[in-house]
Amino acid sequence: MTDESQSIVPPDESVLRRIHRNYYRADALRPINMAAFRPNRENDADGLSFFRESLIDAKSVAESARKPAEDYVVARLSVAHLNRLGLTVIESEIPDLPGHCHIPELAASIYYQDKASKNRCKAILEKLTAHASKDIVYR
Amino acid sequence: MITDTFDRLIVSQQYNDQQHQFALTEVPSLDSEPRPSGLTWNEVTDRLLDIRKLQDDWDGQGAVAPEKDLVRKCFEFAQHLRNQLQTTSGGFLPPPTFVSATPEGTVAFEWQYSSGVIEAEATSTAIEWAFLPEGGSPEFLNWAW
Repeated sequence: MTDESQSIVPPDESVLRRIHRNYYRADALRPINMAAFRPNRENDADGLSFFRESLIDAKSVAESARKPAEDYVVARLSVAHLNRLGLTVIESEIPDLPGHCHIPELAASIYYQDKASKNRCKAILEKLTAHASKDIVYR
Repeated sequence: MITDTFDRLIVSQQYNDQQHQFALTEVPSLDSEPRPSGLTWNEVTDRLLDIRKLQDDWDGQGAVAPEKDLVRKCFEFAQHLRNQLQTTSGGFLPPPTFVSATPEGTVAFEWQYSSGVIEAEATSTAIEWAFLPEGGSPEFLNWAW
């Protein structure tokens, strides 16, 4: 759900997802595994975090983490594709880092709500992972 | 021979003294041969040893480290997969493609096929199986520890 104060990221944009290397294997059929898109109960309470590529580049996304940039890869996902999966991308500013946005349908509060909700989210994450695995822009 | 077709497989399974109905679903053919790009079972063990060493915030994004007892159960589960989880075709599950700690302190075993994904997520109370065939209907079931 969105309110009027939140802006939806348009479908002609792409968003970037920072992924820890533990979720990445270059030689796998899908180099990224599903666990890379699990929301964190504390940090993703309102939605799963991404960054708008129109406002920040992949290297800066990797470098913005608390751990060294080499611990991460960054995948690109098209907003249009996310929309086709029934997901919306909402702008959500955070201090000192441009382009932050999130997907409210994959918020921790929804993912961990109950078993049925978690299973629904897992089915979406499988598709999300397949899409993200095709376009890894920082490794 | 490795195939990517989906077959109806395991019928039921005894695990930790409990009988589990496992395959009400179409899942990828489970041959005894490892998948191309799959881990070896020794690598699965190495991954679990690495996971056992993780501390909270290991990903720099607030991840919870898995409890030691859960990782111990994962070793047993991996051993069970390797030696006892026989399919109706007489084979065993190949080693998974990934073994990863999740942000919530669970451990996910993931098998990737061109026709879909199987995930077994080890939580404190159960193994949560997800069968996610590409273009098909997902199915889910739990094995209590």
